[in-house]
Amino acid sequence: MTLDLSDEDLMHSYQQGNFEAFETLYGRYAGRVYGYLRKRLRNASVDDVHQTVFLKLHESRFQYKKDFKFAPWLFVITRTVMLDSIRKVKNLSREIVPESLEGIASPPAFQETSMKSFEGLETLSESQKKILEMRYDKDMEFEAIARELNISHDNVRQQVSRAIKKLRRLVIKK
Amino acid sequence: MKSVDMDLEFETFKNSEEISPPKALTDNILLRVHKDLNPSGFSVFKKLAVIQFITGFITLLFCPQFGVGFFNSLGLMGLLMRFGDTICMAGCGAVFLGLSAFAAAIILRPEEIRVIRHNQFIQFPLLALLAIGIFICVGAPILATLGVSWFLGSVVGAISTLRLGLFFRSFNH
Repeated sequence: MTLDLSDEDLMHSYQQGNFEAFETLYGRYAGRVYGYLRKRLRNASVDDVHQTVFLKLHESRFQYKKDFKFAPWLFVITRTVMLDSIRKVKNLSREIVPESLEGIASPPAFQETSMKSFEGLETLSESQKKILEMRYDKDMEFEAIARELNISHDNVRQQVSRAIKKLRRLVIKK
Repeated sequence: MKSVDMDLEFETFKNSEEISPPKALTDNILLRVHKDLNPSGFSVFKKLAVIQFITGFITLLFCPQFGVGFFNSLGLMGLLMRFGDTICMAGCGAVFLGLSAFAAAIILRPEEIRVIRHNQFIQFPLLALLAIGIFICVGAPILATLGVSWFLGSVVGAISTLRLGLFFRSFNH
């Protein structure tokens, strides 16, 4: 039944809580979003970004107005999520290779969008990996990480600092 | 980004090659959205109870229930008393639960309201019994016959005002 509806009508029905409407919209656009992300990003994090795009769409569904065209609206969400992911990893990249070290070592590629893509991550301890992920992938403050892991604020800072130094040493060795 | 660049980027998006995402990824997204669009009756009831707690507090400012109120005046109860004890109790119950049902219709998400409507003969009576239980705990003298009037009035009032709230809400969408 939902298959005959326009994207905009489907979106309206989805706003009313109709799961089938979302499923139809997903069926129409998932391939295009995934294809676009594969074109713009070049690593395995495409899956993460793709998932975040549709969950973001779900979170913001009530902001959609029926007068908007659906495709441009979805495009804006896709682009925002993609750029946001790139920004987060760029922040970590800058920590590992600060300006003073540029020339000695090259920072991880700009289009990497997940911490998982950093070489040398496997050399870190499980807790260091977890803390780096919370800090750079999830954008959490030191205080929040400390609360969640039930450790001190200083301990979090120390572990982040040690992990970054370790990654930096690996980058410079290369 | 300039609007021309944005337009070009949108064209790239529109003309992107369609590549099917992995099935596990699709399943995960659909499952999460499905779960969110189909909240459990219990989770919705918890929200309804919180709304009831707040609106109930407000109601007690102007309409004491079973003699429990924040002021000494009878407020709305004084007006309803003119129609006799039974009507008064039913009216007070309708105001008490009706206000929360109206607020729920305005505040909650459509899928949550759908759950309430689907279980309205469970959720509202349960909420009314919970309220009666709390009134008993704070020492309200509740006579069985008047308690039944209050209970019936509150359930009917809640179901009616939920519809009224949805009617108002439909103007905003």
